[in-house]
Amino acid sequence: MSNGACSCCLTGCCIPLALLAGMVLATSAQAVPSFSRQTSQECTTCHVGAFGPQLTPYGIKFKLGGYTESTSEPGHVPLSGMLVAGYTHTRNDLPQAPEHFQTNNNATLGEASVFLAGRLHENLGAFAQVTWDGVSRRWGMDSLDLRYARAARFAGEEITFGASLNNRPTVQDPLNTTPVWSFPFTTSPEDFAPVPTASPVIAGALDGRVFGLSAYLFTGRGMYAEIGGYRAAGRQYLIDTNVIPDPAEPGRNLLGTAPYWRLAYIDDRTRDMYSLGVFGMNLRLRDLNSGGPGDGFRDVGIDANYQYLGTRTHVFTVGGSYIAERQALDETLAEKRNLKLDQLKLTASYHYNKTYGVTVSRFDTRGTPDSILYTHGKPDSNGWTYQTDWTPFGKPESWHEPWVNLRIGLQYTRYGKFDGSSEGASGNNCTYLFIWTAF
Amino acid sequence: MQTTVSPGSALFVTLILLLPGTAALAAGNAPAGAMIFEELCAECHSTTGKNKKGPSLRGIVGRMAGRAQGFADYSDGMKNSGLVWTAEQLDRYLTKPDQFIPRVKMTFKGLSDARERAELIEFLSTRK
Repeated sequence: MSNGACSCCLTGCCIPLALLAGMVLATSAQAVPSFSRQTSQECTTCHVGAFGPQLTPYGIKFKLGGYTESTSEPGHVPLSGMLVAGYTHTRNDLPQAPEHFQTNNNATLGEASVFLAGRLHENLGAFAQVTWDGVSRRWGMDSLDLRYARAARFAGEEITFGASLNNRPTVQDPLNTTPVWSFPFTTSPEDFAPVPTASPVIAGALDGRVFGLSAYLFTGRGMYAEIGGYRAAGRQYLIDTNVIPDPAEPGRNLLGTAPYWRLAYIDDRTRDMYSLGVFGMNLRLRDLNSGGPGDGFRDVGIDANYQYLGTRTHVFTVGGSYIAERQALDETLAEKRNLKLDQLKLTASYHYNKTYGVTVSRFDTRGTPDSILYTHGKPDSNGWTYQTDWTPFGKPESWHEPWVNLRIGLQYTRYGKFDGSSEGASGNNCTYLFIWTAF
Repeated sequence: MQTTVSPGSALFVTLILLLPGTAALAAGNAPAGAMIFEELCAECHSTTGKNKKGPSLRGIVGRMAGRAQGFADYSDGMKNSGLVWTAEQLDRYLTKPDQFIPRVKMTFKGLSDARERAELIEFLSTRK
């Protein structure tokens, strides 16, 4: 999950939605061995680096096919599990220790997840994740992507079309350039390492708080189009699934239906691939305790991606997105304000022999200065994330493939600016050592 | 004026600049046909006997089409083709699979380079 948080936070004006969502939504992305068992394909077929979630063209087609591709052998059980444990060190100690933990140098089992993931019926598949959060020590509904997909021939061209019912904008997207599945794929728990507060709403603030239904089309020539809408989940559901831990402070959620749209061109050239796309969402957010008009947000993003796959011995990827958000704050502040918030993310990676990986990512968020809304007068944050990792399994010859999967990684996040200030930004620099397994 | 470049910027730029050189890096010393198999075929086929999305290609040369052991997901066209996979038939098939056997399930668009096809078939003929 990205470093997402509510775009209009700080100074007590509103509640950081993504931080609330983050209490139950995992920061790790998924590698799901039940898909591998179902298809008889190794992890490396669908994922760069032999571990989720960065999808190769094969993985993209599997997802858009509704997770239903299967061998003719019966009896596949669409269940998987995942554990992520980690150690976090920040340059400065936290001002206050999280409950059960210290102000720095915390180690914990961060996430334990169970997945219903795979083919449920001929054209129906699921990716549904329930996660136990090792910091808040609560269970919660994590990602949900229930799909129906069919293939047909039209004018000699194979077309896949389908629908997705999901609970996070962009969780249904097949590319790793949109917010939910973009790098970093696992991060330190936010209670251990603060993350920048301002972020476009589409980049995390709605996670787990909404339900969306969208229809999509993917042509044999690589055109992908999707259109749908999101609505707020019921308050009692949010309480029951620990998205709202304190019913007295429910935070904000969608007002009405928020349309979501996506267009992309994906060119799979077998030895390599590239994609270009645009996506967006219009929405209004309102405090669940208020009857006000809410605040308006219009998010529009562009994204691009290149993968060199070759023989899979040397795999390079480079990609990123730029999200422009226009805000009309009718409710948060006494005086109406129209603000901008833009977020750039660029990531490059290299994997050797499907085992050793190095990733570098640049993040940069900038927006309209506002002395009331933001603690330091600006929402700006930027920095770099570096990661090196080792993935010993997930290949054809791997021990107990596909049941045993492991990634061990070291991640370092360095801030040049944090919540509008360069001064003291480096105090949030974070080192995260993680062990991530899936079975 | 002194210009400083952070280590992060340097590594990021280096990774991007390396991209055009990847084909050369990937070449290695492996036999050419094996390299082509890894690039174009290995996602869906093995040469070890394990069936994946497509049938294992171990022993493909000389085998009846649509008859790989333990693999049932053939198109009717492939199953009923009556073909025996000789080097010549494989060459015609790999050039344009869906033209050689209509409605074939394999989505591979074809390998237009005759030299690459020959190298691939030569590699497959060694996998017995």
